[in-house]
Amino acid sequence: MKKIFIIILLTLFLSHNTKAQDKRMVSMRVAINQIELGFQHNILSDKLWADVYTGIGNQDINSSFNDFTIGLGIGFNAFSNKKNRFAINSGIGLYIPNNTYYSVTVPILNAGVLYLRLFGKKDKHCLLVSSGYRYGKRDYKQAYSSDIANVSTIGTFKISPLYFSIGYGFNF
Amino acid sequence: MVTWNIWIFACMFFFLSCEKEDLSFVNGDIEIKIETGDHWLHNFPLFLGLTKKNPPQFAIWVEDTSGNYLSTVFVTYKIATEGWQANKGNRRKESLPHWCHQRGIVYEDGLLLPTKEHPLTDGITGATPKEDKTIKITPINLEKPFVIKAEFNHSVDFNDNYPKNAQEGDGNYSGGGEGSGQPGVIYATTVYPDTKNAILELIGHSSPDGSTGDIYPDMQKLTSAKSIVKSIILTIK
Repeated sequence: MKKIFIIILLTLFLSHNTKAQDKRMVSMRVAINQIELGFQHNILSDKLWADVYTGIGNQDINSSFNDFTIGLGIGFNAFSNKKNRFAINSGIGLYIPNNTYYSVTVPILNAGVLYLRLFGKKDKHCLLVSSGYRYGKRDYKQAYSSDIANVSTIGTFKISPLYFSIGYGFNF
Repeated sequence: MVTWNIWIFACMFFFLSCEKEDLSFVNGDIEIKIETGDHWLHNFPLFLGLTKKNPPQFAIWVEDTSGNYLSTVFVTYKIATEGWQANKGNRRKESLPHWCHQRGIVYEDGLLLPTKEHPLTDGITGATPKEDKTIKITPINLEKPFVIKAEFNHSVDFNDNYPKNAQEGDGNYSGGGEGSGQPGVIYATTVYPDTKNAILELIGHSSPDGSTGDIYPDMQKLTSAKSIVKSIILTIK
């Protein structure tokens, strides 16, 4: 958690006093346990951007791709040339497991790196590779009643901490 | 400056919103606390030499002192819902056979295990914890004395006495290459009217291949299975 906060503050510090060009990207990223659709927009400068994403995951008890996730974040292009960009990013979000056994909404903090390779006519297309760390953990209560007893217990839902995804982005 | 404020506020909100849930007990409630042992997490092979740390499947249930099943308290998801991954139709009857036989519910294929179509409905079905677990029971019409039992088992937990290559029909056959290996371990205690605290004792192991619901008290051939659990402590509040 502490490392994520440091990366968030670092991203904000690097964004200080900058000016934006109008650049947008829609993307789709696929990880082993999550699929996301995202929208990214430059803010304040051409090195700083904000993004929002929504997606589905399978990290809960039934491992079905029917959990819901949403989030927003900021990123900073630390290194870039004509065809390649390397950014650090951080964000917050929510992960909502979908099953019939428990109900919980999990806040998420994340921080990581993003590599972007531009290709195609006017660099409209890009390959995305991202990796990082996510923290999301929340307790939930389960209960059951029978003729002889009421039973309850506390479970803990925890997001898989490491993530790695590849994806495609379209710039416009 | 606005960006700074928004992010700091959002991070504080999320950090503070990660509240912990608690079980609250009143007089007469029963607390069952499972402390995980050295082998609670077991290396389950995936592919290319990669392994994954898996906790055991387990069930906790109540019986009367005549050995009659009364109710399941808690059971882990995979066995409660036939939620095994990549089991290729293998129902895993060797996983928790004593609980299955005590429960005595026969499903469509003649086995005593819940199915995807008919998952367990009596008792809490929960994710298998990777850490200590606490369960609260509030008795309603539960007369003392009664017995609390628990059965735990890992997949592919082979040892020299229960090897992977044991053949069907052998005394140590435990479901083949994707079976249990060492059989399930069974813990039990009797709760009397004057019981305040009790420890569920390890009383034996279940059938290696799941063909019977018997308890086998000889545990000399078990190795790591005896340390799946460190202790199970029952407290009457």
